[in-house]
Amino acid sequence: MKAPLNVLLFGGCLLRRPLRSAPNLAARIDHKRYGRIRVVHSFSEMFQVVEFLRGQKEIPQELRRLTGIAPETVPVPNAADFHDIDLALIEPGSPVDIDFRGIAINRTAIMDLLRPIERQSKEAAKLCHAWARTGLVGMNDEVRRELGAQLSALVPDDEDRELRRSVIAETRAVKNDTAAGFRKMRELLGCPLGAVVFIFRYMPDGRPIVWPAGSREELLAAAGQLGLPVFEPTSLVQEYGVATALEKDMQHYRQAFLPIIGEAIVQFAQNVYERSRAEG
Amino acid sequence: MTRDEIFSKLTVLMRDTFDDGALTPSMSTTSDDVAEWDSANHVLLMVAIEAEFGVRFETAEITAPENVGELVGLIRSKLDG
Repeated sequence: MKAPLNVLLFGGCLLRRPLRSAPNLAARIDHKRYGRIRVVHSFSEMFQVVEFLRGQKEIPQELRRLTGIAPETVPVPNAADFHDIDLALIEPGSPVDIDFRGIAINRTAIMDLLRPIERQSKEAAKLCHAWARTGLVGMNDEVRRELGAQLSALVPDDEDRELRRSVIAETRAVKNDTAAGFRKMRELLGCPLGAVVFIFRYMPDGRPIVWPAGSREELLAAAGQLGLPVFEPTSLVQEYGVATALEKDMQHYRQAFLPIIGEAIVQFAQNVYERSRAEG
Repeated sequence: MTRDEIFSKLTVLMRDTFDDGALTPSMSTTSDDVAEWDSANHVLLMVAIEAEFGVRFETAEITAPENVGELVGLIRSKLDG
């Protein structure tokens, strides 16, 4: 087994945090070769990371916090063909691609941007959630416009005022296609891919919940079509039990469980690599 | 248990879960109609339904219902099953 494997990570905290906590990680996985890539959920965010690393797309510094690209991250010459990457792990965690002025932005970052409004009152929080969930992610333009106007009136007068108002007014979402997303990532990266199932939450007895309904099946179908290995964390969570594995939100892994799930992800990455070698 | 009885109990659970005592859902109410009915609260609602009605949903059923009527139908099918 080659060690360390050079791995690109595209996903959220359920992929990134455990991997970083895996035992003896530095000797087995190098995931920092292309700089700091942060949380990405949608395929458009992933494509954008690749375009950015190749120097094909600029992300203004003031918008970096809405994307998966850290302020200090810069284009990397090797990204032209990613010849030094052994594999990529991809965890799609959003059914929609979200666009603001041609920049793919992250849904969690939008909610972070709206946090000062959300904290104003219970009604303001409801407005934020309804705008984001029904208007934006739900792609209901009438609701988005109507609630967006109300939301805009609540934007606090601080240094982010114009950015918040612009994001509320101009951000749009479109449904993405899981199979097309994986196919494009494979074309862009030219390396073996491993698909990671995003589990939205768990029931108290460990039953996994995917959101939206059917997204897991979409991923499995896409992976099947493209011959991609799939990592599902569910069995490990069930084996250890939700009380051991999960925080109270029934979504994020507990600190003590991170190395356990991280080890499983490292082994999955190694399997993806070995399988690609065996298949030539 | 009739659909109306299920609906009545479900309304109480929804008011509790979504922290809205004035909530008056109909059979056609969807998550889009209730500001607090987001994906996280949906999970809490399903946990509350399982406890209240003594039923157990399959993984795919937890996020399948698209409105209150479908949720009532799902609960009834579980009770009848």
